[in-house]
Amino acid sequence: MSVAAGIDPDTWNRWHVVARLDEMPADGIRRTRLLGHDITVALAPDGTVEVTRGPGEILPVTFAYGFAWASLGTPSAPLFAIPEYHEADRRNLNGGTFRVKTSAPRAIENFLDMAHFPFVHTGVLGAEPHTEVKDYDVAIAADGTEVTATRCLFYQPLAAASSTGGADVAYRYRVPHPYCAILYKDSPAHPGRMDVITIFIQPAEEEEVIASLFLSLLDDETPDEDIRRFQQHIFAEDKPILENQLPRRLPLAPRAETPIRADKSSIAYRRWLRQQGTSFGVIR
Amino acid sequence: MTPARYFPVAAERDLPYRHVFHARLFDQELAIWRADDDQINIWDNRCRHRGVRLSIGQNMGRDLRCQYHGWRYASGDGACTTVPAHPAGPVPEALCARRFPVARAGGLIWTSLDDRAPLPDLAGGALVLRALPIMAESSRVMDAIAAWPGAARLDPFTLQVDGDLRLMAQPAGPGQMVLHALHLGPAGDAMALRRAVNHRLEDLRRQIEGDR
Amino acid sequence: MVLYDYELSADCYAVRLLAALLRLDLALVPVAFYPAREHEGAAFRRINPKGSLPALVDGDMTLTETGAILAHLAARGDANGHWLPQERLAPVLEWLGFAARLGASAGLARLHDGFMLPADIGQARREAEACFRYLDAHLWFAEAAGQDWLCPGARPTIADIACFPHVMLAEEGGIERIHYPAIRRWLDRVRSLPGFIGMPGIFVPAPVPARAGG
Repeated sequence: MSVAAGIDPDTWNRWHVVARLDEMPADGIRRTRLLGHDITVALAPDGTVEVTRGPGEILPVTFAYGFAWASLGTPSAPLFAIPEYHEADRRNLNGGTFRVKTSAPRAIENFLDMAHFPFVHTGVLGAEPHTEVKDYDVAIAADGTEVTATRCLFYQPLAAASSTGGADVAYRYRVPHPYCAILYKDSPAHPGRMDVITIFIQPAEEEEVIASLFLSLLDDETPDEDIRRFQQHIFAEDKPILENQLPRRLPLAPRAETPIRADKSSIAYRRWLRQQGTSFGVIR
Repeated sequence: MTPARYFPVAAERDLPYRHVFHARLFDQELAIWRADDDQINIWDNRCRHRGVRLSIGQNMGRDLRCQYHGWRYASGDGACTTVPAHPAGPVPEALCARRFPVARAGGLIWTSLDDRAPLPDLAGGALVLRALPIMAESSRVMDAIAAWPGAARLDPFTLQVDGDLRLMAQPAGPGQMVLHALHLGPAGDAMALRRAVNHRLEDLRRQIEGDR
Repeated sequence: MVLYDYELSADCYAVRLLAALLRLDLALVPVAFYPAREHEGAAFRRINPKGSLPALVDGDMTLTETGAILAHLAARGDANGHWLPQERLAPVLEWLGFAARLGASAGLARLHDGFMLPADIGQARREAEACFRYLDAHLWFAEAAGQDWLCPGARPTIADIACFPHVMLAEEGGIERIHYPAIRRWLDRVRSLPGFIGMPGIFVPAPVPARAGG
């Protein structure tokens, strides 16, 4: 489903992820969809990237975290920052890019949600009877640029590729873009510092997205492919849930669905989308 | 505006214990399940929490558990009894599955999207044959069958052929329907009869759907 | 026995599933199918020149077709011969052939939709729907004759295991299971087998006390 006209200005003028630079096809051309429009991402041999919509219509492009980002409009602000990315001892890698038949906001909410861990990621991120979601804090930034969830805690039997046992894991979430979310988790190898796991969602259509899992980790030992396998395992467990969620677009009306206390982050996220005026991938 | 009447959506034999049957009627998705005490439940196929299909959930015998967050809904009144994220409760008040009426007649399970509808009038003892999904509007299928020799229209959604083959339409959604079939009267070789009718209906489907 | 494996591959999962049901030890060597396409690289082609997964190495034998791998596991791990009954070889082989059709249609549709593999998606889905219609009719009539599995008999065979993953994951390729109620019941029966394991995208049913009265 595509929206030819009537996309809200906030969405239209944002940067959206469109390609993973080290996973481009051999010929350097990726034809894809953004907000219901056909676009082409062209990576030249000299490393330059051009993104076009239609012949000769060149779109603004920027680069961050190993991805190309483009806009159908005119971004007035830079893309959100992830300061950890630039730390010298970080490993930055892409866990995988998958297409999912759902809206971007549904995928973001799933990323923010902890209550599903024992049922969807059984034995890895959660297990019965440890199903309780203890209270946590959420906030929408005063300048409206992001939503955060802090003081989150959840018991996990096996929390990351490098874990060997169960623990209460503390983390926080940041949503600095309607279609991007960041999870910060205690680093097992570096106490006091955090691993960063992100989801960048390319809103191809209102009800179809291309999701990339980007990681910025302090782990020195686990091979890249082991980390990717873990991230793909988790994502592939969420996929059938997302693809069986109706309606596919996220309803923003407060009474449309039934949130509970554990859904604080999703309540805040939906309120934030209403404030931004987001129209793509939602039901207002 | 859907017709105020009951439609068949499944057969009794389609509903083993510990299974959730998935159906669609006028674009309304349904989760249909048999509890351990044989109560049949027909519910809107969405968890009240975040809309995940109950048909991918689990029939636990006395309740249905949503696959996403493990919420459980009791057979009968559909009341949500368990929200695992808050084990101490309380469960949000008046939270329950959206239910549709259940009628059982002729070995089939019937429901209506309009609960003022009159109940189906079907005597027992029919042999339930295989229901066939057809990617076409109900009216087109009914018209095609009405042209068979020996076919009689009983109403817009029901035809009887040769006096003993009753064919009933379940309009599933735009361009799709399920054709239910009963053999009334003595069956003789039931398996041969099932196969013969199935062949006939599959031929009909090929004719209607053409080259898909 | 060593299985060259990608966790999200439906055919690799079929092998892992049978091994679990047989309680057979299988050493897994992960191959980075996506996005690295390690299976197409020079190193893996020394193991399987076709550049495909799964590949099973047992001593000096390498098997690279899923049906053959399942048959080998059954021969090695099933002393009772239930999973590959000698008196019903032809029906089992018929369904192994059918499983390959499912892989080339429903399996391909899944790779196209989720992993963005180029494919003629319309053709893949049409073929998958034709396979599913055939399978649903077969299973409905099997049920009518009191049978639970693809091949007549009281127990499942490798035919059921070969076909199960592509059917269970079909929605990821845009094929709805709502039209195939007999298939849906069969999928539940496979998932209820003792020792059943899932994979991401296939949930293991939570244990529930057996229904009182049996």
